[in-house]
Amino acid sequence: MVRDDGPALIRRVVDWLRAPLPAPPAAIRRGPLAEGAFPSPLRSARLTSLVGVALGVAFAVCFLTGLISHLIQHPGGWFWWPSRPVSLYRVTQGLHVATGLACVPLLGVKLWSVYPRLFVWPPVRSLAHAAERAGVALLVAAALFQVVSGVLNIYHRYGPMPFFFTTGHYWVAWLSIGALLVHVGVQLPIARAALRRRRRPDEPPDHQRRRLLVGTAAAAALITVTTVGQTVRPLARLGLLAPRRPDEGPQGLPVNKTAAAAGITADPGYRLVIDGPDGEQSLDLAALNALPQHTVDLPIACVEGWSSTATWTGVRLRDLAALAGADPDHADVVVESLEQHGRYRVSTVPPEHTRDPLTLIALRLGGQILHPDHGYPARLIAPNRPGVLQTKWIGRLTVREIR
Amino acid sequence: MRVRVGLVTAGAVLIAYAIVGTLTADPIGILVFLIAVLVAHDALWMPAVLLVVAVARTRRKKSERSRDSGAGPRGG
Repeated sequence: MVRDDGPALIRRVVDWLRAPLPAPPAAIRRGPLAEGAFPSPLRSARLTSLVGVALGVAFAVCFLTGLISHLIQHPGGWFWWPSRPVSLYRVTQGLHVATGLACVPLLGVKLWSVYPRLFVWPPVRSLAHAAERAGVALLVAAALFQVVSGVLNIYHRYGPMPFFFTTGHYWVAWLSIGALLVHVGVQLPIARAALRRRRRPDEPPDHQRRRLLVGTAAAAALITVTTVGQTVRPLARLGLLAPRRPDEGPQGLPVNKTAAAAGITADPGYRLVIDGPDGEQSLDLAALNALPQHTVDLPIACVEGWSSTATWTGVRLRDLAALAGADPDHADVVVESLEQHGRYRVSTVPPEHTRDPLTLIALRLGGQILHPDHGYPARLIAPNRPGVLQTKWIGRLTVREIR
Repeated sequence: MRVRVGLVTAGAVLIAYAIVGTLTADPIGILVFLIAVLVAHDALWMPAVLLVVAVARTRRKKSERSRDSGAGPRGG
């Protein structure tokens, strides 16, 4: 005879987790812990569920688009990102920032609607209840972390963040999505019941709650539309949480890092070093200008959500790869900046971008020689690529054949 | 029930992945910021918002009461 202790053991563990803990003394039930401390009739399970669904969708879109941006910048061997359509990244990253900012009012109302639950009595009923509350605290902290750090990044305010923004934002995104899934799993029956609930015929319509919902939706929509103003010029002046203007900056294009901030000064003896299968060679500006020049219209699409299209002129990267002795259809190129420090001083151009005739080592912007803040004497401009990977002040290209 | 168990399990796996990843990054700085935004929201921001709303509501009720009493029928 075989004894089946498995289910019994699980049942015992579940019972142990759900066993009531001793109640705290009633004397400490004061202030926000007191019954009826939060009298607003606007709060309801249905309101919380409706805002929660909207917030969940916004978080999911934000997470997926953010993951795409991360993978483009840190590609694993399996990841592939095309060079066309040229504006795909500006759409995915614009969506990332717009949905992230739309989370500000959604998260605000959601947390307001459940705030009384922070002071639920008794604070901890059982170990299972304690674990559930810890999960909610993790979700709230991670959600606030993502929204606050994202806004600080848009405004280039890194002082309050005691970590490297990109890394922290990336890992806490996983944390928030994990905590969100746990939360949905725990709250699913309550949310389902609240969303299915219909007003009884004798129940008066709840105008105040409807106004709150409409107001929240309007705030989220307004923030989304004005964020798009970072790219769409007629909306540029409306940006509340999106400070960049697509036409402001040297040569009518925004700049995140100036030449001065990068420690770059004009060098009359500048030479671009090209290393490849045929060995190393260097070209001065005159030699670069003597090569076939091409003009393309391409956007700079920043990870902060703004983007702006400009007209670039320069040498095709595939022509330089061929000059280095590589097959331009099967080569990647490591692009190094003259910048001595900085996390983005080196980037790799994958084969699909290297072979694309739109990828240039740009020497001119809008027909004029590049402004120092835009990367003079030479910079990379490639289609469908984050701005941080459009390396400026290029000093060296290493062409590697991919077999 | 299966859906709920699946969601909770997947969520727990992702949380574990995130914690391991955070440990390779800057765990102290990230933890400090996580706690700071949570405390700032729950202990400062939300009480301040609720206080402002409560004060505004009280003032509005007071002004409505005084307006009603002022507009009422006068004996004489």
